Amino acid sequence: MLKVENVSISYGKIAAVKDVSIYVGKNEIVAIVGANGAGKTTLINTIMGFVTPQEGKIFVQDHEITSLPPWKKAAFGLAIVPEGGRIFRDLTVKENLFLGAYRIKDKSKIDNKMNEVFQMFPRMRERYRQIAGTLSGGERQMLAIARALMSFPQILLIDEISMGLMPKLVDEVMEAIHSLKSKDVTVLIAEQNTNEVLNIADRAYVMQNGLIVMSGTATELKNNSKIKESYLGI
Amino acid sequence: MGYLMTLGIFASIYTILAISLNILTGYAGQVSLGHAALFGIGAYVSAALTVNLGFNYWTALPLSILITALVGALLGLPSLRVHSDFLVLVTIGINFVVVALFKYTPFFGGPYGLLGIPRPSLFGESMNTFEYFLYAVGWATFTILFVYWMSKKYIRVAFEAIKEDEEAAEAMTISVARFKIYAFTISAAFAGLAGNLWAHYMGVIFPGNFSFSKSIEIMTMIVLGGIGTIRGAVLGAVLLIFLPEYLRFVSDYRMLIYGLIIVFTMIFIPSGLLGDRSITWKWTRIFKKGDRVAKNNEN
Repeated sequence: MLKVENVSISYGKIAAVKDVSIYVGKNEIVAIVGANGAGKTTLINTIMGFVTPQEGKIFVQDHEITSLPPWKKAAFGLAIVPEGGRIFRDLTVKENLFLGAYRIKDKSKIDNKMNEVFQMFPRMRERYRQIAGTLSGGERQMLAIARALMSFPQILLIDEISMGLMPKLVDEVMEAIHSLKSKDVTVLIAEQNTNEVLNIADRAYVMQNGLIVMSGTATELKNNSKIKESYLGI
Repeated sequence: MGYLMTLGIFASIYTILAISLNILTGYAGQVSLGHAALFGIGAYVSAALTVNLGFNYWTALPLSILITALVGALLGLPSLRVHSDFLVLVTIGINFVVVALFKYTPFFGGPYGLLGIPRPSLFGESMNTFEYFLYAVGWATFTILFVYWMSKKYIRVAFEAIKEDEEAAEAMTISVARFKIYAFTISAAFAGLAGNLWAHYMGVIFPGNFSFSKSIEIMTMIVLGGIGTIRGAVLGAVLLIFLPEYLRFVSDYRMLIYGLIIVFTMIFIPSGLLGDRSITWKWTRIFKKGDRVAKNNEN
C-alpha cells in the first residue's frame, strides 16, 4: 500500500532521516516509535509532501509520489493528522470538516461521510456549530482525525496524536484509531507514547537518530526487554 | 448639496476600496500596504484608454477592471514565496514602483498626470454629480452584495484556513497558492473598479493620488471599522471620509491621526469598532444573541 525506499532527508548539514525504508500493508496499523528528535515527524511530513527527500523514493500502490506536493498526494488517497492536530481554531467544527472534504464534489458523499464520522466521534455532532478553538484538547484531536477522514483517505498519516493529552483521552483517541481498521483505512502513526500505540498497532518500526534500528510486530516489540530499555524507555 | 454628493461619491469609492482590501487582508490574511497601487492602476488604465486612445467609457470600465485584476494576480505571485512581515515590505515596494511608473511614463502624463478624463455618459449626455452619486452608490452596493454572497461560499472558508495555518490548509489539500492568487485577483478587480470611478469623477489624476500614504488610509479604514467584516469596512470608509470634512483639525493632521487610529485600535480594540469580537460590536448586539457561538447555534 505505502512503500518508502531508502529515503534520506537532511536539513542543511543535519541529517534528520537516514536511508529509511518502511512498508505499510493494506488495512494495517503501523507505528513509528522513538524518542524526541528521532526523525519521526520528518518522515511523516516527507511522505505527505511537506518535505522533499534528498534521496529515496515513496510509492503508493506502485505509483511513485516522491516529490509531489501535498494536494497532489491527496489524490492518491493520502491524508494527514498533523502534529498537534492543527485544527482551524477560528472556524466552526462544521467548517473544519468541510475543509477536510475539499476535494469531494458530490454533496451526498460528504453528508454520508459526515454521518460516518459522527458515529465515530459523537461529540463532534454535539459541537457541530461551535468554534473549534473552544473545544477541549481531546476534542481537538478528535476533530483533527475527523477532518482528515472527510477526504476519504486510504492511508492516514498520524503524527504525535497523544501529545498533551491526559491518559484517559489517549486511550479514547487510540481506540478511535484502532476502529479505522474496520473502515478500510490504512494507518501510519508516529508516536512517542510507545506503550499505548503498541496496543493498537500491528507492526512497528523503532527510530533512533534518523535510523530505523529495529522493526517487528507490536507484540514482539512489546515483549522484548532489550528494546524496552534501550529504545523505548519503558 | 453638491458638496455632500461629492462626499457620498468618495465614501462609495472608498467603501469599495476598503472592502477589496478586506478580501485580501481580512479574509485571506495577506497584509498589503500597497493597495493604492491597484487603485491607481484601475484609474490610470481607464483614464489612458479614454483620454489617450479614445475608448468609450463603457468599454474602458470592464477593461480597467480586467487589467487591474490581471496585474493583481501577478502581484500576488510574491505572496507565494514571502510571508507576513516580508510580504508587507514587498507590497510597500510595489506601491512605490507603480507610482514611479506613472510618474516617468509619458504615456501616463508623467508628473502632470492625465487631464480631461470624461464623465461616463447616459443616453448621450454625460452624468451630472447627482447621477454620478447614484452610479457610485450603485457600484458600492453591488460590491457589498457580491462580497456578502462570496463570504457564504466555500472560497471564504478556504481563505480563512489559509489565513490561520497555511500548512494545515495544504494538508487539507487546499492549494494555498491558488487561493492566494484568487484573493489577490478578486481584491484587485474591485480596487480597479474603485480607481475607475475615482478617475472619471475627478477628471484629473496624478501619480501622487495613489501614493503609499493612500494605502495607509485604506488600511486605517478596515482596521478602525473591524478587519474581516464587510460592515467594518463600510463604517471605516464612511467615517474617515466624512470626519475630516466636519472636523477641520482632523484634516490638517490627517496622516498623524491615521497613524494614531491604527496604533490605538490595535492596542485597545484589535478587532475594530465592528469586528466579530469587538466590545463595541457586542454592545450593538445586546438585544440579539451576542457572540458568534450563539449566532451559529441559531441557524
